[in-house]
Amino acid sequence: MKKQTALIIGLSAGGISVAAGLLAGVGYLPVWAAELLAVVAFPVFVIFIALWWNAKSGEEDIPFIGY
Amino acid sequence: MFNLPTTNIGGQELFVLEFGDIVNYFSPYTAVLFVFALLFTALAIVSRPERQVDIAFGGDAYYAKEVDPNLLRFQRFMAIACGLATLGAMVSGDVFNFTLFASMVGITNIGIVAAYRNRHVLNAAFQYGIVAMLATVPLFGGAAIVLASTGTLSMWELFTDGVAVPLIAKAFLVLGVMGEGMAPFYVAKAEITRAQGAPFILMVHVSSLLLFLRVIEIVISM
Amino acid sequence: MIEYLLFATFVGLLFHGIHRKVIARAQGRPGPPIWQEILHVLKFSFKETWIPKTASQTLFVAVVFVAIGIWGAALYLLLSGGSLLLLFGIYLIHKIVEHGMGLSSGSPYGKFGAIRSVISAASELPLLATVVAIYFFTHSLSIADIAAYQQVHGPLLVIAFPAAAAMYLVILSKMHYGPFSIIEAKEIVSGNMTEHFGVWRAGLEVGYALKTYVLLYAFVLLFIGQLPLALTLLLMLLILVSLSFVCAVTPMLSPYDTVTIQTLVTGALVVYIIVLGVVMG
Repeated sequence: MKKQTALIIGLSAGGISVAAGLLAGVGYLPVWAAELLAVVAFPVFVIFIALWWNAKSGEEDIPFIGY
Repeated sequence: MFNLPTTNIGGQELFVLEFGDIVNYFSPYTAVLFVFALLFTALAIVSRPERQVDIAFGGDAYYAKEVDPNLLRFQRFMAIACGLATLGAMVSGDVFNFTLFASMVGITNIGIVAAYRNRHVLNAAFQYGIVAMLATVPLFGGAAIVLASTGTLSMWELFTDGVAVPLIAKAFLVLGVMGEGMAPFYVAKAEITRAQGAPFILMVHVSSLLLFLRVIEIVISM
Repeated sequence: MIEYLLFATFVGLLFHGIHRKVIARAQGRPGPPIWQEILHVLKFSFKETWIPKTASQTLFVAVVFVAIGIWGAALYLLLSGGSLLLLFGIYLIHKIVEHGMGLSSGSPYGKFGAIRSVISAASELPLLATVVAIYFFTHSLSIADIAAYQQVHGPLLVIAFPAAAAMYLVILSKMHYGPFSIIEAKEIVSGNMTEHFGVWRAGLEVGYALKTYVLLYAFVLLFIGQLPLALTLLLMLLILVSLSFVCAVTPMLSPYDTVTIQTLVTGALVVYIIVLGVVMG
């Protein structure tokens, strides 16, 4: 997966769960719906942010792999 | 129109699905179980089985088993059938329907592993089949006692305070579902996991655990 | 919304660190710093990650998402005072996650862990007995109702002590390095987690942190009652430290002994429930 794709997915999942919390706070969204969104989006957020920061950018040295 | 009498156990009813006088219901509890069953059925549909790795002892060598497409197709079919039976059992509003779905789960569970040609797996499937078959006696017996003593099988009636279900019927229902693969009777299942096909073998356990969760709700509510 | 999950994750990871520290001190070792598990998760998330070629790839990845998702859902369930039966359901789904995690990789060690997880299905039964025993007193399984009951009648820890003991055993059987953690025993490498490395392992650690937080929080909520956050956290910490002491001084049991003890506890609790049924009608 490309580094940027992982970042976009991770950030949008994080954005969804934050937005769900805010919308529920001001009363646009029922609390259970916001919780559901957060539950679904949180794993995506965790995994894809981690995938983003360990993805290769393509500029690394080639590691020494032995004789 | 419908009022779920036991909101203190599984929560308020969210949605009912009528099939004549059989009224399936989604409360937060049954809906969550339904979603779990759906999730793992979807996983069985979309994922390919793993290639089991065996180590050759005494050396560094290992070998990975190949996936047989015919076996894969049959296992996937059975896993989906098992998923559908579980889905039905999760939201059923009728005790007899629930027991029917439970016994269908037992049958499909054997189907998932029976195609795999390995002596240990087939032995385990055979023993599991015997236990599951024996368990249908208390399972349907429980439903029969419920009908005989209360005159109805509809959970909407049984869950009300006015209807008293005998303890023996409840015990039989729980025993029947446990026989389909819960705690003391799962022993026959351990060897089943030798078979290839993780997403499908997983359905065997998903279905029994979800059935058990559902029967607990039914029994406490009655 | 998400702030609850992040808070629970960090506190859960910190609890894991404290758990290791207490075990180490009880055994006369210095032990890692208490934030070690947080560093662990960060470390794993920076490691190179791929999916093993032999694995059932979709399932291999999906279980990680499910592991985080179910315990996130369990946290909201406790916060919103939903059905206790649902918490029990999530606990059983966690078993499926452990099982699927081990089976999906194709590794024999993973498979051993998965089979041990099936065999120790007896660890769920004490929780079920707890649920039924609580229902006997409160006549409701809604967590909000149970908290309300305790405001009137005092903590269930006193009223239904055997149920609390069974729940304690349930939490103990899910702690790392405990007498019942046979599924991740070192003689089978890391059991069902053997093949989940890098980001997948970081995700699992997040899920497990949420699990520890939820189970300890559930214990306080169900048996002591609704308290201010600081006091709740303090009680959770005390329970955790007591669990750590148990883990520090008991060796890991063999799989069969694990099942035997858990079944015996369930049996004792069933007797308790029957006695309750006779006494209370």
